Amino acid sequence: MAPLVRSDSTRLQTAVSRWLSELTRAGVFATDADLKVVAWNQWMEIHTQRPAAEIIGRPLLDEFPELVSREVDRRYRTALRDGRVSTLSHGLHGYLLALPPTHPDLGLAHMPQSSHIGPLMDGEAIIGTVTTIENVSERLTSETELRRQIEAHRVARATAETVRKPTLGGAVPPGRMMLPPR
Amino acid sequence: MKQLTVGQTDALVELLNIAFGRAAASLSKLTGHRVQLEVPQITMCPIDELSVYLRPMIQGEVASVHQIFSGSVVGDAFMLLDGQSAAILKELLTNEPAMPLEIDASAREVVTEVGNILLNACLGTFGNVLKVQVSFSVPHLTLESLEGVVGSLAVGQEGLRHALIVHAAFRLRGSSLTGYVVIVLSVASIDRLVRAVDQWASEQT
Repeated sequence: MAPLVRSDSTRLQTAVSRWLSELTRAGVFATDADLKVVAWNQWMEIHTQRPAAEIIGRPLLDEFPELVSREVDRRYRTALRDGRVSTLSHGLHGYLLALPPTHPDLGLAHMPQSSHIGPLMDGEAIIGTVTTIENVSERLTSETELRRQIEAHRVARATAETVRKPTLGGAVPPGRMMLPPR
Repeated sequence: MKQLTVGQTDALVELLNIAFGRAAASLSKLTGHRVQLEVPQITMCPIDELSVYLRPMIQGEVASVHQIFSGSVVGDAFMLLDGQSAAILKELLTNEPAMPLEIDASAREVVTEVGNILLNACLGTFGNVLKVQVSFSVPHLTLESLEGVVGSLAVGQEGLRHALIVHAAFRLRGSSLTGYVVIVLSVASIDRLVRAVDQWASEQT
């Protein structure tokens, strides 16, 4: 493949920036080294109902103080100090930012999220942080359904085992003949 | 083959226990359960002997959390758990029954976060001892055979590399399970690390 010339490279960077800003199905935002917001993509605008123009330049921890009360600010500080990338799973955190739920049937007060917080590097220097947020509502819905099916299968198997075992008199209790509803 | 002296092994275990203590404190805070993490044993071997060493201890498919680190020290770091231990760990940490890891993305993600916390603690400690800044890649979990994990290490790498294998004993809610942290470094980086550990140990006495 031919190497990219400078103008190709700039166009590519512009295209990638546009994709991250407008088209990606994940929340992406960046801060500078003082944790002031420097980038806020369309997903973030939609789900926080905060336009980029309003939040860019504002301190992230002032805008979302619960990041401090839940001690998530430490993850930002270690990204800035040590260059560490942190994964925040839905299973252990629930969510990164308290955003409105997109799937009310899950019965959750906030959109369930998985996220990554990492350093923004310029060569060897750490110049800020970048955060990605994934809405895992659809995945949770699928997993809930899978759990329900696995449990129904387990109950059906247990019942079938009971039916196969002869009782003391050799008779099978009539109630055990029923298979559980699917 | 690179061998550690008894003194170097003791110093590394002490350092890693400090790192594991930090990781355990983070996990305890996150989950609300008391999580204990200890380093009962460490060993070092060339990477082509890694699967031979680990095979008796890890059966079946392996849940492997992988992070690449770079900077003035470059290498690969893994947390390895057998599939069953990974599912049990998720259950103990979240109070939610795990499904087989292949179909349970939430469980895979929790295990990834545990690996991320543990690997960050270990590599952060090594970075402090070496007085170098280490950059990390985003952690990535795979489910594959032990040979597959080890095979992926050999691809595109030049020069002799060694693996530092750290046994990681988790204790929580009356259960215990063992995972393995594997840090793969070039021989030159291992020598540098060992010298820095020697220096650290001499400063402690």
